[in-house]
Amino acid sequence: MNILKMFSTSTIIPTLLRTRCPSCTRFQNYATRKRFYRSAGIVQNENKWEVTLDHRRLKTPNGRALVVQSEPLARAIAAEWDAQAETISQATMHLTALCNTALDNPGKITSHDIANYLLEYYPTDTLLFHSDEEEELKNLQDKKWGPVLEWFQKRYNVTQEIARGLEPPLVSTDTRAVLARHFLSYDFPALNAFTFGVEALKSSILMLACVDKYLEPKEAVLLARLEEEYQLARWGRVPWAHELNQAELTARVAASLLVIQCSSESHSSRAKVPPSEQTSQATQ
Amino acid sequence: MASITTKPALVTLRQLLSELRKQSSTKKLAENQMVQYILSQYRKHQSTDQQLCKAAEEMHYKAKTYYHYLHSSRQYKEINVEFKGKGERSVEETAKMVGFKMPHDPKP
Repeated sequence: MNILKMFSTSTIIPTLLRTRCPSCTRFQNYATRKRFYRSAGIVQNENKWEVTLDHRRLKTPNGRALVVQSEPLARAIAAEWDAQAETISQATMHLTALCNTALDNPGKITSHDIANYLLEYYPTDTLLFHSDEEEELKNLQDKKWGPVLEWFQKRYNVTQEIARGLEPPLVSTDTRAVLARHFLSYDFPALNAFTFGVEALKSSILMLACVDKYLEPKEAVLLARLEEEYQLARWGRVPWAHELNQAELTARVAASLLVIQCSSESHSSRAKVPPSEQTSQATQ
Repeated sequence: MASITTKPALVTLRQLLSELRKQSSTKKLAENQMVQYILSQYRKHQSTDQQLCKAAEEMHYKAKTYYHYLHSSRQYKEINVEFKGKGERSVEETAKMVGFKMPHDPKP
């Protein structure tokens, strides 16, 4: 009798919890949302941009309207929503997610908190840890990472030693000061996106190189996964692990770069407007 | 040198358009707002040829970044769909695997 009871409840609960996926008629363990709109567009509101789905404004999870400062970013978000097929897969919509986080700020953090976090992260940068066991890997790392490290030291006018074991390398106070000043020069959405990119690459140096257009996102991801690639050459490549990982990291880094570029671009374009034009625009 | 009309920049344009064609839900590519915007930006930066123009280099980098974003996220989705797990087996399926029937299984 007891066993009977157990079976009947255990068959009911999963059917309650799971939703049926319409396209594959299999059980899925997470809720999917169907695409409920036909087209995605953008509207301009003074010098801010909003995304619309069938004339309704896109909102953040907290219920605020999703407002961005730059036109290309708004267009890219609209294109992202437009690219959804039957169901909306929000996990792959990095641009929307980054703008949502910047607007809602769920962690209630400030730019200083993020800068602090990044400075804590910096000594554990991937590029600062070179292999001390395998000669071949060590040579490869020196060859591939060396130029980036050199560029970094020249660009920020700092010297940084590298670690050969597990102990993180020493970071001078000068380096910390220079990096802190640089991080705080970004505005909040850009800094938020920067952290996202750093966490994907596990390296702030690579992310800085991307922001400065020294590396492309694809190259940066390759450098971040250098040891993995080295091992893959010997042990073989599995698409559902390695290629999936590579594609995801590249998408994440590219998305965060787009947000950073758009935010820095809006600043420079605002600075370029001559004062006479600005006053005439204000009076119109 | 730093012009948007150089060959690599045009290659990026073609790659971008091809990605957008694969992803956009509009029938014609020309109706897509992003395509219209990209083409207008390319035209806008076309005339700054033969100068040490920082904007064009920036535009090309941005275009490449956007292409990488579109391409990688599509690739990610494709791999994910191909190798996605089917989820857990139900109690009934598990019972069937080992040759059991559910206690209240209706007889056919």
